[in-house]
Amino acid sequence: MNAAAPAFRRNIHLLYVPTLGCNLDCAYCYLGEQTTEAAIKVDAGRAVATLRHTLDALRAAGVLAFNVSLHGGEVTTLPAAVLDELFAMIRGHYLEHFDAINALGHKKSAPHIKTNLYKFSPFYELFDRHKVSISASIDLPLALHARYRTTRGGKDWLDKTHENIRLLARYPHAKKISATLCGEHLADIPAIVRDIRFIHDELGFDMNQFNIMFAFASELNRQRQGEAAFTPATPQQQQVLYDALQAEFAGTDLEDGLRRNWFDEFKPSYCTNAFNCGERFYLLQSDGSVYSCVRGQGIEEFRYGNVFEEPIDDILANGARKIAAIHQAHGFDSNCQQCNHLALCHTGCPVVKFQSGSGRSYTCDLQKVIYADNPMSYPAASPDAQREDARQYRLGMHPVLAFAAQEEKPVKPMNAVVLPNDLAEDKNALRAIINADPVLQSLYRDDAFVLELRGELIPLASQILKAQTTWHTLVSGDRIVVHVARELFDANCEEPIRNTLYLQMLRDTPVVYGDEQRSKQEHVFTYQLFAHCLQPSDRLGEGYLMADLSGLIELHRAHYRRGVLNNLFFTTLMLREYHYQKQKGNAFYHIQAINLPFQNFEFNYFNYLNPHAGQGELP
Amino acid sequence: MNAPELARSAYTVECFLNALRLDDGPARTAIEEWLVRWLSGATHKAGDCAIYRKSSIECYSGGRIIKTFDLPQARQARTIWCDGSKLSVIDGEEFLTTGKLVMLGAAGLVLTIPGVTAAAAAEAAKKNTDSGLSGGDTNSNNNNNNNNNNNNNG
Repeated sequence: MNAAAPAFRRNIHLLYVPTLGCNLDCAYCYLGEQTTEAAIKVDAGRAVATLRHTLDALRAAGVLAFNVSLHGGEVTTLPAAVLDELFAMIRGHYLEHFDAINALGHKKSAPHIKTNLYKFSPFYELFDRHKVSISASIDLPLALHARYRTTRGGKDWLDKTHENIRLLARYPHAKKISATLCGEHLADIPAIVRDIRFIHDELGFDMNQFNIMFAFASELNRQRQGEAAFTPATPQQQQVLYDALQAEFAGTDLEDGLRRNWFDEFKPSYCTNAFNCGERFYLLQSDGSVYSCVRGQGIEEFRYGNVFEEPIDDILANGARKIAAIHQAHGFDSNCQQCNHLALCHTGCPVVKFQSGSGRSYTCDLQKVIYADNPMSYPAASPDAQREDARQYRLGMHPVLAFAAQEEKPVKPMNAVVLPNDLAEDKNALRAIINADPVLQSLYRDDAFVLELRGELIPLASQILKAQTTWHTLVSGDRIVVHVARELFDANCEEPIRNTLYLQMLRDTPVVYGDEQRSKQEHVFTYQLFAHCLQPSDRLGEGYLMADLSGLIELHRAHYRRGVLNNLFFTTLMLREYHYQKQKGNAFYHIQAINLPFQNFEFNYFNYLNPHAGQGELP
Repeated sequence: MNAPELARSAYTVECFLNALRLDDGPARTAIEEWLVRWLSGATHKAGDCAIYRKSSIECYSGGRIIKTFDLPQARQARTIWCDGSKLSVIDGEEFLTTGKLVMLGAAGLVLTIPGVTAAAAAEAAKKNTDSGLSGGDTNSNNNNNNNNNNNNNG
């Protein structure tokens, strides 16, 4: 399909606001005057080009926008032709990067918009044609929709909203409804409950696809509304709502939505719970400005740059830097420092921190209730893990605090094995060390020793390099011959006459000895046969010598124990000495070749003539 | 089949079932008899083998499964191969790790029958009662760096 797919080094969520203009005049709008001051004609003229430019720039920078969603203002204030182009571009983007997006676990193929539904009916065919996923905003209770979500002329259009929700219920593609709740909305929770049921039962929209948001204090809204600005829901009100919805809808046809979707925004999968949302979530306006998100629009502290003026990397870096600065400015809340869900929540939304002046998530208490109700999905950290989470968070987000902290610094646990940090460098890998050393190459050869057992030739590999281990069963009378590569006796040896075939028989009965007090296999015997005593190989030709080991192995049969493996190692005297010299001279080799590195043969021995032999005590 | 080869098959199968940590009893005996008869019988061909994995022994002949023994009580996480004269395991996990630190020496199996009090088995069992692995990085260790048995008499 696409053999030359671009390599992305990071991925982001991109919310695109093609216009700030809106056809409504909601009393609690966090965008303040921006929705009335927007010039829709100007936005319409540049909306498509801006998104195209940005997607191209992101791609050139190796950044994949795995989600491109449209948000307002109100998207449907733009002409249908503009929306048609935007939808086509987003669908094309998802198809172009289908594999990369799918690999990230996202199943995106259709555009998604946030809309107030005011112009849903005239745009229905367009949305349907592009399979647009729709998230509709309403007020609950619906009575407040009539009062606060009015047209620019101040008119109530609730009846039309009812019709639009009925139409949305029949819409064949992805859809959901969301409601942003203030203290004023929560003054009548029974009405909220009734209206959820009304929309579900009477208007026909499946309210399992519903989610709740809580309004927060917004300076832009305050500037516009003055004393009439709405009050954020208090933690108590949030909790009362949660309890009321649980009581009303648990056990009903809406329980799935209640547990899965309604309070999703306060769960770890949302941007509000990101460690640093500025590393991943961005909002683009049609003028090219990039902000953190809808909450941060129009606020300088959350403006990251402009795609027409600055490189993408600078803008993304600004995001991470500015968000970190907001978190740092509000400190590491003492409650968060002790919280055993810190690793899930990460102290909450930085924009809300900025607006409210609090260093803690504005839905903290509600989140804790959700965690407690879903302990397997959101397990509490143990005390030790919590301390570590807090330490990591402090180090990552508040490094000044981490270094200034008077608390006890972390110490390595008593059972921590300390290894040098360059141990894992490629040049220090055991195979790299072997490849760089001709003598070690001889020592580790997998054709140096070939065992002949019952007529079968078995090449022996280094114990510490092989990936497959085989245990043979030997019985009395088995013929065992070892064939040894002739030049092996020349390795690390100027006088081969002094060299020997060096055998070590170990038994898997552990013994503890040495400075390390390590449990090791027990030695049974060591045997050396001088090189000149070996015979020419009768199976492998001129390049090999051989020695019949049948008698030697049989000689020690009293020491082989039933059910206990025996481990016979093969090397030469001079290669064995080289191994220990290498250990002394190269610590990286030593630690990796701490077990005997020689070629080995493991076997069980069964004395069928005396089957009970070897079951008793050690000889 | 002659006596040594029959003995070899019987003992190898015994070690195979021991490695699965199967307790002795009539059920085990029935499996053991079938395996020994099959692996040492006249119809046994080169390449025929029994493979234990995921609580089941599958017997392969000509590349096809001809017999399966379900062993829900088996306590062995690794896949073990047996052809009547040897056992074999592949150290998959150790080498598939994405990290660079590869823990070696994890190949051992406990081959004594469960409950047997041979010194070696008892020692191994103290360390590995759950897995049936004989040692991971314990009793398959065999460094000899005290170097006290050099023979420098040349």
